[in-house]
Amino acid sequence: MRMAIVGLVALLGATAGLAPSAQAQRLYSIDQHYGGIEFTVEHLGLFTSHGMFDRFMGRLIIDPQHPERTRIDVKVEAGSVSMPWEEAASMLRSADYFDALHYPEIRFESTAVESLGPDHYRILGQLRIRGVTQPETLDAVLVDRHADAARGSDVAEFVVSGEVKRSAFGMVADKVFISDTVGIRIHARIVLDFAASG
Amino acid sequence: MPPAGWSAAQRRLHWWTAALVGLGFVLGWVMVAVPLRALLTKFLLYQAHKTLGLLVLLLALARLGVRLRRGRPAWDAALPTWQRRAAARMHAALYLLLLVVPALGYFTAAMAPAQVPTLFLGVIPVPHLVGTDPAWFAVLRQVHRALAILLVALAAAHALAALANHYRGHRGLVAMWRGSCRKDVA
Repeated sequence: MRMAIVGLVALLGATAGLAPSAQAQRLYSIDQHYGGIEFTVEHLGLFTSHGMFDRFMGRLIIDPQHPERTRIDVKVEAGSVSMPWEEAASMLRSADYFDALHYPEIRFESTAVESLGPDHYRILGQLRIRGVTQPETLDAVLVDRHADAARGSDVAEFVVSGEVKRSAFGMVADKVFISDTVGIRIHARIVLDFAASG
Repeated sequence: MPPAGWSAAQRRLHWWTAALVGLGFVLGWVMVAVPLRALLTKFLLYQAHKTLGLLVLLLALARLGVRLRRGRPAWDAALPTWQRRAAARMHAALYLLLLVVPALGYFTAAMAPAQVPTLFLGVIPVPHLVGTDPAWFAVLRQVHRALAILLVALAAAHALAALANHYRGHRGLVAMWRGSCRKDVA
């Protein structure tokens, strides 16, 4: 999920036209106030459950001239996992799932950003959950970009999506009832104050 | 002129309702006690409980329909008036609870934060007409539980009264089992 945020940042970076005056890399921070990290699992093919993370912090280093150099580093607080049903969230924090006590941090670090189209990017990176690091690929789409006249800045909205096989991170509990594939969907809103920096 | 006895449909509906209510009640206690760690078992038990509840509701509606159309056989003339009155009130309360308890169960499930669908017979999705509401859920599950206990307690009292009358020589229980109680009326 954090990855998605990272992807968003990368996308932003890729939209180089936003920052005509920027000469070099710029650092952006995002957290739960500027987006959300949601996940979805399936149960027996009959229905799905949704959850999210309440706390995360992402750092995006964007070079408007070279979006492929965008770097994303997102840290998610494993213990902040939440579901509509607190009992289920508590289960997710337990040793069988995120084991938040021993592995309080989930982290995604990008290794490469590829442009797939004008508003479409692929973010490659490393995802660490429960102390296990696995390669992860996220798909980022710039869904909206508009000028915020009051702030004198551009706002970019990204949707980043991907999938994670939880078993790859040693999260194998309840394999019959909870799908191995976890869908990830990240919304991120990035305020690009390039004008201020110009 | 009241019918000579309970029809086959009425008798079947009566005993099926008794069996399903008993099973649903036991399942209700078990499913709540099963730890969340046994997720699949817990899920299946809840679905079985919800299916039983919906069946009870359908059977109760069918029973009411038959009862209103066909009526009931005449009371055993040997029963004292106060017992007939008490029994009539008991039956009315049972009918009411057979409708209310499953209905409350449905709303409890619909408002539960867990947002698990209701799958009749495990496969047929039953739409939830109301959305999740943790505050209402907390209230409803307690009311559903309390009224379910009341329903089973009244059903047990109803059964004990029938048994007691049976051993005193009344034919009411036999009539519900076999259909006719003409001998008693005669």
